[in-house]
Amino acid sequence: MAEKNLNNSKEEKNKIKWADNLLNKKDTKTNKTEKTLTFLTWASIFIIWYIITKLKLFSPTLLPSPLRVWRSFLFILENGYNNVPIWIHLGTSLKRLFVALFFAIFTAVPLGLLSGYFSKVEAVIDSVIEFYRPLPPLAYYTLLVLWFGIDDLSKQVLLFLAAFAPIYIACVSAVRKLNKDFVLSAESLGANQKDIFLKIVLPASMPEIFTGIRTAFGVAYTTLVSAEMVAATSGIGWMVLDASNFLKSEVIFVGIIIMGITGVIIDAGLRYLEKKIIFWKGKV
Amino acid sequence: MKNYFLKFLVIVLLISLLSISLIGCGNNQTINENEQQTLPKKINFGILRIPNDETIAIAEGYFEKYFTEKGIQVNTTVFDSGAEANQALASGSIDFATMGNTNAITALSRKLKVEMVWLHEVLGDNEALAVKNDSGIKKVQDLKGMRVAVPFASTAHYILLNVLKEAGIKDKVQLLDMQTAEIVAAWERGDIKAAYSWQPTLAKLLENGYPLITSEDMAEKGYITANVEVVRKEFSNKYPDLVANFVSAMVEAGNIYRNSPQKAAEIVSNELGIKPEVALHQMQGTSWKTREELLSQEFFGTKENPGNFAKVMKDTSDFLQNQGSIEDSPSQETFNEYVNPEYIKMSLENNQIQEN
Repeated sequence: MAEKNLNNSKEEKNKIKWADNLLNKKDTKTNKTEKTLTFLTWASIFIIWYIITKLKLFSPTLLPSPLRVWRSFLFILENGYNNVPIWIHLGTSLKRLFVALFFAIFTAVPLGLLSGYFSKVEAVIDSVIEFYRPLPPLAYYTLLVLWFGIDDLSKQVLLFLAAFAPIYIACVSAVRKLNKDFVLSAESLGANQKDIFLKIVLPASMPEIFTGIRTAFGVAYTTLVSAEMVAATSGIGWMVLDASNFLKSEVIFVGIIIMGITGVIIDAGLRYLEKKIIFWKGKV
Repeated sequence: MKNYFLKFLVIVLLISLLSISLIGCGNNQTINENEQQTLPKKINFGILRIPNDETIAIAEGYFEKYFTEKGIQVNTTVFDSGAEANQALASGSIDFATMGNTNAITALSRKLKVEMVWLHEVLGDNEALAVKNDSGIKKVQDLKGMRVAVPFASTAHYILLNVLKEAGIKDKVQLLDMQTAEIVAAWERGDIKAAYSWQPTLAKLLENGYPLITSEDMAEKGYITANVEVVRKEFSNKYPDLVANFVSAMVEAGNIYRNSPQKAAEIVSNELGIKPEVALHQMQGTSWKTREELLSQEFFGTKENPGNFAKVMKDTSDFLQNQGSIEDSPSQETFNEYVNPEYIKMSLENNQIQEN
């Protein structure tokens, strides 16, 4: 990158600045309309929800009113669910999720990069991942319970498997998309394999790796409820399942809304990290 | 600004259109309900895979006799527990459902439009707290600090909570929410040393374990549980005769058991894939009632003079409410109406099955 900056003449820099400004301007303008649209979407969802429940088209068991859900939320906030405070439910779930994500990142990233780089590594790993990736988790979850027991381990393994594939695939494709010229230039300048990997391949793949991690988080999060189906007595997913046993639909709504909001917040956090770590994204 | 206003207008319009169309749906339904049709095209039954009268009735083709021959398609769906059946009932996917009386209470408390029309069996030795042989557990108090698996929201869950409460260790035991098949898996792995479950799962646990306390023991202390049949009111109001027919099918199946337990055991063993002697033992763990017994004061009673089972339901309901499982406990009057003896009476009046 340093080389590139040196090559840029002042004129070119100005050009880039101008283009940037143009883009930004357009961004803020569309942002405003889009934000209004998003707001209107949510407002209309709430209005429709309110109208439907107000007209009593369905029994409150099928569709509880927003007020009922809100009351139930306050009740759970105050008293917890099943005598367990709500933040412990949420914390247990997030712990399961992040342990899984942590291990997935630290195994899938190196394996994915290696697979993308060395076709022989890919030949070993790729088919296995392609095989299990589309399997629905519930199909093999019982096996995981049998092998790893009913405690947190089996749940974390399930989430790990869910998170592994997206990161791995992102890494492979990132290496594939790498501009071969960079590697060849570095080689001709006498860089060794280790340097090429650490200084060219890894940084160049970072944006895609991050996209992979964000996808992985999403996939793992959607698997959370299935993971907490067996032998759990805490966790936000279990709360929703237990509530469905007693047809407490307002608690199901509360659980879903909490999960949705935490999902958005965590994704925003990941995007913030992405911006900080890959500061050059979209600028090179 | 004009642009925004236009968009807003369009959205408001869309909302109102959608709501109107939804109201339209609601109205259509009520019109359909009012139309008194002769017979439904099909009936959806939610069943449990347990050795009971319904399993025999299905194996012996009584549903065909009472329903298919009238041109009604019979559809059965197996549920692992009444909790799942309740979800299907709420959505209107099934008309009849077999469930533990605790689930039937949940249904009423959540204002599902259903009523209880039959009692399959009173639970006894077929539900028990099994502990592993090598666990060293001799009495209920020994469970302190241990993990006990049970399918939440079931009759077993209700009894287990009372067992622990009576022993004074309710807060000192960790309960795990598991389905019956998972209980067996966790048991085999050694993850759990104690579980409250029902037959046929219980038999698998007892292969290397023993019952510490059974639902029979608890029934003697007044904690009665039973598997019951609930039906959607929309269905029963429209086709009361078919509900009475269902009762008759159950009675015929029950008669096989009452006349020849051996024969009933063979039928059940074929249907559930267990040994006949095991099936027999499991059936003997429950108590099956005749229509006359059910219409007595001990169970359904009469419309004017509701029987004791409505009181059992109310007591259980109050317990579940204290437990925080259900939000509100319906009144005794509501339960008196819920436990409806009319269909059993109809079945008794208009058919010729002989009871022995």
